[in-house]
Amino acid sequence: MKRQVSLDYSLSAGWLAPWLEGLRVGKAVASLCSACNEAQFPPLRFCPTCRQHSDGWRKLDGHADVLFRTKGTDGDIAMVRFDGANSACIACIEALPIGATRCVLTTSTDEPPIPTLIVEPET
Amino acid sequence: MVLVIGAAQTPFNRRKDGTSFRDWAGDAFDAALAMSGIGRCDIDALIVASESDFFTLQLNPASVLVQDLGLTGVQTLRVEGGGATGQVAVHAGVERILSGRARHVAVLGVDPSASALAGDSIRELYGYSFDFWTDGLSGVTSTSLYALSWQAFAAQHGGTSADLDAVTMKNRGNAMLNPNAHLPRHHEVGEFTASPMIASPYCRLHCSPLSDGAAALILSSAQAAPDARRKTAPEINGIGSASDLPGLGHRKNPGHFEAKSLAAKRAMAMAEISASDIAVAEVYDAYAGAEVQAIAALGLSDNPLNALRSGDFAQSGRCPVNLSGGLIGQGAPVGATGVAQTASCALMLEGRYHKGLQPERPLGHALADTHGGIGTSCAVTTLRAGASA
Repeated sequence: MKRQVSLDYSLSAGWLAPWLEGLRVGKAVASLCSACNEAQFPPLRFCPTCRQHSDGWRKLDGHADVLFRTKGTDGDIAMVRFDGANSACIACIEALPIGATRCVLTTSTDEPPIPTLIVEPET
Repeated sequence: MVLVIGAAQTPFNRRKDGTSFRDWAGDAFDAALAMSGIGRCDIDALIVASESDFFTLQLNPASVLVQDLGLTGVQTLRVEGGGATGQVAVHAGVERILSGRARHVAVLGVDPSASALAGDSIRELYGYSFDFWTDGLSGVTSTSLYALSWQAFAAQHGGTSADLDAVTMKNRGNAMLNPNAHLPRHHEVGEFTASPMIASPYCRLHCSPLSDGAAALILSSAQAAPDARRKTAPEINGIGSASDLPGLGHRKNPGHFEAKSLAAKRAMAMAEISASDIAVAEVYDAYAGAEVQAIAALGLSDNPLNALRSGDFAQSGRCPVNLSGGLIGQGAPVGATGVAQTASCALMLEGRYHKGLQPERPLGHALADTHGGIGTSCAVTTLRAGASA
């Protein structure tokens, strides 16, 4: 027996909107905890260090270090840490040469903006 | 005290015989009930473990399964915890007995993870097991995330691809003696280099398969257990669970399953034992490296890589790990996985496990470990052999 289900979701960004809007225009926007001055990218609603409510946003310069990378059927995927962020994130790393360790955020062309970070080599 | 008076599972594989998850659920439950020595009318509650309605195309699966099992009228609860779904359901059953709300509880795990949907669809759904907004929508699958976590672990501890090969060979080798196993295989070292790379360093042979199947437990308070079962049935003496941040990058150490360590400590504290008391373990090896990471997090070895290389976790080793074959060898129908792990432990402690896999020496304690996400939602169960086992 065959049964096909097609689902068409309407999704709201909610409190993640500043981060997603940043991705849309190629800006790295991190959540900020003013109590301990930690920035999380991707954002967290609560600071994992002091457990205070994140109460602001900080624009990062978009440059990051590659910590680990994997290559396969998903493409090139890396764990990267953006300058100025206290956490790392998972990112697609198109066009990053093997052995390169620095990268930069580019604009997400997906609509709605896919919360995936596309990073490229620094120029 | 909570006893496991019944434990059973169906074969884990890709079904092509026209049966459905409702058939497998019935088969597993009937077998566990037959072992238990009690009747259907003695069951007070049914806990159903099923990870996703997308797999079964059945919201509220407990409503139809309670009917299929002839249990209509009992308390029902459906439990979901990602990959940990089955073990979380075991905990729910234990807690229901300890609270006094039930004397006998049936825990039933089932999922059609292999045959209902195409593999790519299942993998996409699994991608939503992680933070949907930061990882799920990106199309990054579990293999890439596990690969990054393993790399972080290996960078600290010196793990190599040969270690990943060794875990696969051990678990699929064990599975050759398990008639319920999905992938009983003898692998040669050379096969790994020819296996397609899914997410480096994980090739296909390092990954657990998508499986169909079901597993069931009949839990009982000691007072309500039939006399014959009260004497030999193993006891679930510790349950512990914990959570971590879903995003690997948010963790201080993305290679360490911190929540698993917490869950294990909580379970062992409840059982009043230490990791050195564990004689046999079924741990969550969704990927080969995850087994080593789990062993480290559970505290089963201070140096899990050296212990692996020394054969400590082999069938004849100090603490056999995944005698069933684990997810890599036995298979992984998600909701059934944790239930089957605990069932395997219970059967081993009672000396009723598969011929050729049943440890010959008396076993004191066993441990079952399951997680959802990348060690995000962790559930650990410890069991103690019955007095006359």
